[in-house]
Amino acid sequence: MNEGFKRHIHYISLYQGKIFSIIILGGLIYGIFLTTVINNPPDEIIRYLETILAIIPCSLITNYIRYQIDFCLSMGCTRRNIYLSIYILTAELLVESLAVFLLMKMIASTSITVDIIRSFVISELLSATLGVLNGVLIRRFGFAKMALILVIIYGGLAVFALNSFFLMTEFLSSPSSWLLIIGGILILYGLIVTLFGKRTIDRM
Amino acid sequence: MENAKDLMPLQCKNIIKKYKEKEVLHNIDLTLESGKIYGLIGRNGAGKTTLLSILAAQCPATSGDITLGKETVWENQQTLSHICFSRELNPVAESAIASMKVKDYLKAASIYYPHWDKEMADRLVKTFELEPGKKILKLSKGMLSMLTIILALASKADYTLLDEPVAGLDVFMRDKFYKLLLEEYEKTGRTFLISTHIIDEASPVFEEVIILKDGAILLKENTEDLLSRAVHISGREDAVDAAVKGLKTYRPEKIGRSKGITVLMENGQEFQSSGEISVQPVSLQNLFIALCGDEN
Repeated sequence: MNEGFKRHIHYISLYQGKIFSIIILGGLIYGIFLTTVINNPPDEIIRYLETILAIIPCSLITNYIRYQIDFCLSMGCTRRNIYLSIYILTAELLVESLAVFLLMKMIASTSITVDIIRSFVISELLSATLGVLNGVLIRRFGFAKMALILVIIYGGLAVFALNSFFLMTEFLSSPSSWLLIIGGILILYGLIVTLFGKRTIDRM
Repeated sequence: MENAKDLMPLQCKNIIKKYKEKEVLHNIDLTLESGKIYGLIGRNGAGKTTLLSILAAQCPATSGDITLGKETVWENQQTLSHICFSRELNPVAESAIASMKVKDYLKAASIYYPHWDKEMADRLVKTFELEPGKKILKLSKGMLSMLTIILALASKADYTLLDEPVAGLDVFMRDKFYKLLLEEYEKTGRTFLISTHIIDEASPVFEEVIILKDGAILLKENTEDLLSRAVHISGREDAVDAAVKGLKTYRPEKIGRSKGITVLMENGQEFQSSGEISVQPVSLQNLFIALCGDEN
């Protein structure tokens, strides 16, 4: 690992810590509210937690691409280190949120199956992909022009995250045609992100 | 830090920068030797910030190469660790620095710059009376300039590029900046390239001056040598015309039968001296106006 990349990862870890604290604190308050005020069953709470965990990569990566890249470049970071950090951030978030999710499942004494893990991993990866796409699109078009796209993306993401477990289980076991369409669109997103993202960062 | 005077030069060759179809830098060739303070002057839109960004590999050139010694600068962390570009801060609401506090910004800088001098940064924060806990979004223009100065000086980068570091600073703070700059230069021999619009005030600090006009380098020369070649000649029109015959003249001004004109002589050239003309030295700012002002 080169020195510059080490320094960049050090900075990202500080930035990530700040965003994480905000989201986790928010999630904690939300969780306390659910358990004490609404008194939801553990399964329901885990589903809400899933929502929060799916939003974390999306928000964090969107924020990183939208706000942080220029700053990191201005501090002498190379573009190659920035691309690498996006991939690492995605992988790290996936591992971290999976660990939290499994821990919650264990606390709730619910059985953990391969399908549950698989569906969770896929939903997190898709959420991270949407995060990259959001960041890239907002960079390129600004918030005003992006308002409609954002509403669609975040609306879709909220619905998707809320139902990710159910949808993904369905999708993996008996894929119906409309689920295939959603999957196709998301794969297309991934391709656009790869093309758009690199070009956008290159042009900065 | 060891003396940086022996470092290899920072060079750019055939740099062209286009934004879509508009070419903003035309075939720039520039060599910055280590251990000098360079002044970069040019009118608004001449391409100063773009050139500085390209030199620091923060903005890609459309074509051309930037090298530090034999090593390329673009995407090379090794060479980039020798360069700091302290650009004007513009903390709009939707930017990373807007949500940062002064101390967060300096903490980030300490992570990215390998030779960061924390003790110096802390001392300068006190000197400039900045509040470490204050949000950058709430800083005045002058305070933002102070922060860019702290970044530039404490980075200890061998090649430090500053984009209008004194914008918004009052005369006392500007004076403080020039003193700090010279102190640091004497101590370390670092190379500074400073763009500014406050030319006369900064000119005693510049060992060499680079004038950028319409995206091209008009001249790059030792400041003293350049000013020794420039004079302003005034007097009766026919006497002035006779005195400057065959010389490069700029910005003629006529009032009735009197005329004033700026002359930039080539080495070895001289004007025709006579008792009917008055000859005055030209300041760098007036020479810049003569060279880069409107033809009319």
